[in-house]
Amino acid sequence: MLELLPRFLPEFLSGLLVNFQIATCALLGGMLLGAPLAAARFHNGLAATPAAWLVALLRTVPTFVVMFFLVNVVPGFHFGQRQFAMTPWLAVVLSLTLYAAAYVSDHAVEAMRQLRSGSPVAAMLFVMGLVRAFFVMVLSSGFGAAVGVVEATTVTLRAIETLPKAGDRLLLIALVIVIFTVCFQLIYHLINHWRGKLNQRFHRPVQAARLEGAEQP
Amino acid sequence: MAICSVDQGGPVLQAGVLLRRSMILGLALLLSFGAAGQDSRPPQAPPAQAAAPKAKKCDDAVDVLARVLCSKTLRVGVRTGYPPFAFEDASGALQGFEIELAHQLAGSLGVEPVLVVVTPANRLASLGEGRVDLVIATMGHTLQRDREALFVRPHYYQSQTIVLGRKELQIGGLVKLRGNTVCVTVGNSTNAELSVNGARLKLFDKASSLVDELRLGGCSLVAQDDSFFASYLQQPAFAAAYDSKFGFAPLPWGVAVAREGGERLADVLALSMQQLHISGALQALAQKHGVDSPFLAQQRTLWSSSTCAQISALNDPACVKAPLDNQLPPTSFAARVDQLEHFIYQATGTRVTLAMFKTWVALDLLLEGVWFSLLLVVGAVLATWGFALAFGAGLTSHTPWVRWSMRCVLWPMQSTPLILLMILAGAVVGALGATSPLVALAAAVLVLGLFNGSNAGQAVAEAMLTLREERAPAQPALSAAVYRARAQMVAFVVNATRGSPAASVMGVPELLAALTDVASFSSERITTYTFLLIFYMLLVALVHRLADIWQSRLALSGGAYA
Repeated sequence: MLELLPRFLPEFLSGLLVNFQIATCALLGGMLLGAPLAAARFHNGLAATPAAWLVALLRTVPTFVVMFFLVNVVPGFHFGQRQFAMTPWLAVVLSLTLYAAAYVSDHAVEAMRQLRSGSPVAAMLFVMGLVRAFFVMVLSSGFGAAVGVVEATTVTLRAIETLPKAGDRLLLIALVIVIFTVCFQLIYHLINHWRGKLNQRFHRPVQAARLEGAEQP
Repeated sequence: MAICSVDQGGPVLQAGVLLRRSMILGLALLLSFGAAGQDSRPPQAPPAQAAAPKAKKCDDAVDVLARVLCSKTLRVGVRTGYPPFAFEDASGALQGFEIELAHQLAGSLGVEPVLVVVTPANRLASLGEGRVDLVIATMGHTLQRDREALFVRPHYYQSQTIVLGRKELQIGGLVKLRGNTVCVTVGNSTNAELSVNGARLKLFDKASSLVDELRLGGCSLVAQDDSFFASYLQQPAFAAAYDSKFGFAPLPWGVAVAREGGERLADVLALSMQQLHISGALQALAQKHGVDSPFLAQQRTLWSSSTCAQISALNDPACVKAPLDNQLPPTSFAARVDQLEHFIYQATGTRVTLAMFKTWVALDLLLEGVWFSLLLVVGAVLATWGFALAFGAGLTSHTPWVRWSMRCVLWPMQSTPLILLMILAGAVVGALGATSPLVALAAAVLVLGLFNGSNAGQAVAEAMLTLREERAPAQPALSAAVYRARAQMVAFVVNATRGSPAASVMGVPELLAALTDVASFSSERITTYTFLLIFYMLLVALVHRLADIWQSRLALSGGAYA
C-alpha cells in the first residue's frame, strides 16, 4: 500500500479540487435561485405563497436521486444561446443547487427579518452559514462518484480496487477519513471561532447561533 | 468486383474448393429450376416482354435465389464501423471478416457480391423490403428475430457478453460480481442477468462510452459483447491494461435471408456454410481478421464428424445450434399495462412506458426495491433518533472518557462524505464475508444513523449545556434538551431519509438500485427515473410531515420539559 501513496495523494488532491469546484458552482446557483425566492417570501406579496411552496418542494428533493434523474432523463438544456449537455458533473452541480437554493432561501428570510428588527449580527451569521453550507456541499459532492464524476471519492475508490488485501483497503479508507477529518474539523473550528467572536461582539447567545448549522443535503 | 478468398494452400485444397463450388453451384441451379416452377409469370412471355431488359426480368422473380442467379449479383447487407468484422479502410473500401465472408458466399454461388451498408436499426427492414438478398451484419440469432428473417445455419460466429476490467482486478464469475459496479449500455438483454446476480449497474447510451469511462476511471468493470472489444484487445496498450474476466450469454450470429422467397437461398447458403466449417476456411478467415474463437474450432470439429457432415444434418438439432431466447417472461397483466400506457397517451399526449410492470423480472426488482427502501428509511429514522439520544447523553457525560470517545466518533462523521462512509461499511461487511442484502441493509442503517444521529446528538448536547448553565445547580433531564433541540432532530431525521438512496452504493437493493437495473434491460429511463424521484420525494415529505407532527405534540406538552 505504501508504494501506492505517492501516486494516490496527488490524484486525491486534484479530485478534491473537483469537489470544491462543484460546491462553488452549486452555491452560486443556489444563491441565484434562492435569493429571489427569499425576497418573494419576505415581502409577503402575491408571490409569497408559490415561493413558499417551491421551497417546501425543494426541501423534499433527495440530492442523490435527482443526480441520477438528471443524468438519465435530461439529455441537455438551452441557456440563452448556448446548449449544455447533461454531463455527470453538471448533474451533481444542479442537484446540489436545489439543496443550496432551499438553504439560502430559508436562512436569507430569517436574516432579513432579523435585520428589519435591528439585529445586524443575523446578516453576518447568514454569511457564516453560507460558508458552512459550502463545506457541507464539498462533502456531499462525493455523491458524484456514483454517476462517474472523477472527484476525491472516485479516486479513492479506484485506488481501493487495485489493492488485493482487505486490510490494505480498510487502511486506505481510514487514511482518507483521517485526511478529511483533520481538514474539515480545522475549518469548522475556524468557522465556530469567528461565529463566537461575532456573538461576543453583539452579545447574542452562543447556543442560538450554533444551532443554525447546515445539515447535509 | 474482385472476389477475395482465403489462401487455401496446396493443390489438393484448391481441388477441394473447386469440387465444393461445383457442388453448391449445381445444387443452386437445381433449386432455381425448381423455383422457376413456382414462378407466377406466364410460361410464354409476349414478344414485348421478352425484349425488356434482363435486369427487369430478374427483379420480377419471386424466389430470391432465382433472382440472384438471373442477375448474377448477390446484394449483401453489411455493417461498417465495427472492426474487425466490417469497417472502411483508409481508401474507403469495406474490409473485415464479414466482408470477406460475403465474397466467399457470393463466390460459392458464382455471382458478384454487391455490398449494401446497413445499420442494426434497418438491417431486418432492408431484408423484408427486398433492398438486399441477405444480411451479414453482426446479427445475433434470437428466437424473436426468427419471426422476421430466415437464419442460415450453421452459424458463422458466436459472441458472448464479456465483463472486462483492469488486469489487477480479480473477478471469477457472475456470482462474484455481487456488490461490484458494472458499466453497461442501456437495452442490452444480458443486463438482467448481471442485476439478478447482484451487480450494481451504471448506464451509458453508447458502447464507445464504456471504453472512454474505462480509460478515465469512471468505470472499473464494463460488460458488452466480446465482438465489440475484439478490435480494442488487438491494440497492445489496451490489452496490456485490461482483460476479459469472464463471458456469459453466448449468442450465435447468423446470415439472414428474407422469410418470403428466401427459403431456397437459405438452403444453398447453409450448404456453403457447412463446407466453410468443414474445410476450416471460416476459421482461417477469422484468424486472418483476429476474431478467432473456440466456437469456430468446435464447429469445425462438429461439422466434420460423421453425424453432421451430411446434407441432411443441416436440419438435425444435434448439429445446428438453437437460437437464443432472450425475451423476459411478461407479467400476466402486461397487456393491461399496455392499454394503460395507450390511455395515458390518448388522454394527455404524453408517452409513458411502465417497463417495471411488464416483465416478472422487472416487477420482482421493483417490489423488492420498494420493500427495501421502506425498511431502509424506517431503520435510518429510528437509528438517527437512537444515536441522537446516545450522542446527546455521551457528549455531556460527566465521565471524560465517554465524552472523548463520543467526540472521536463525531468528528469523522461530520467531516467525511456520506458515500465514503457507505463504502467503508461495505468494505467491512465484505471483509467479514457477509454478502446478503439484509446485512448490507443493516450496515447502511447503521451508517445513516451514525452520520445523522451524531450531528443531531451534538445539537442535543449543546442544548443540554445551555440548560445546565441556566438551571445550575439542578441537573436537567435529557428530554428537556431534546425538546430544545427538536428542530435540529427533525432536520437530521429528514436528512437521513433524503440520504437513504445512497445505500445503493453498498449493494442494498433499494428502489434506486432496482429501477436502474430495470432501466438497463428495458431501455426505458424517463418514466422509470421519474417514478423513482416521485417515490422518494413523497417518502421524504411523509417523514417530514410525521416529524412535524411529533414536533407540534412536543411543543403542546412543552411545559413539562421547558
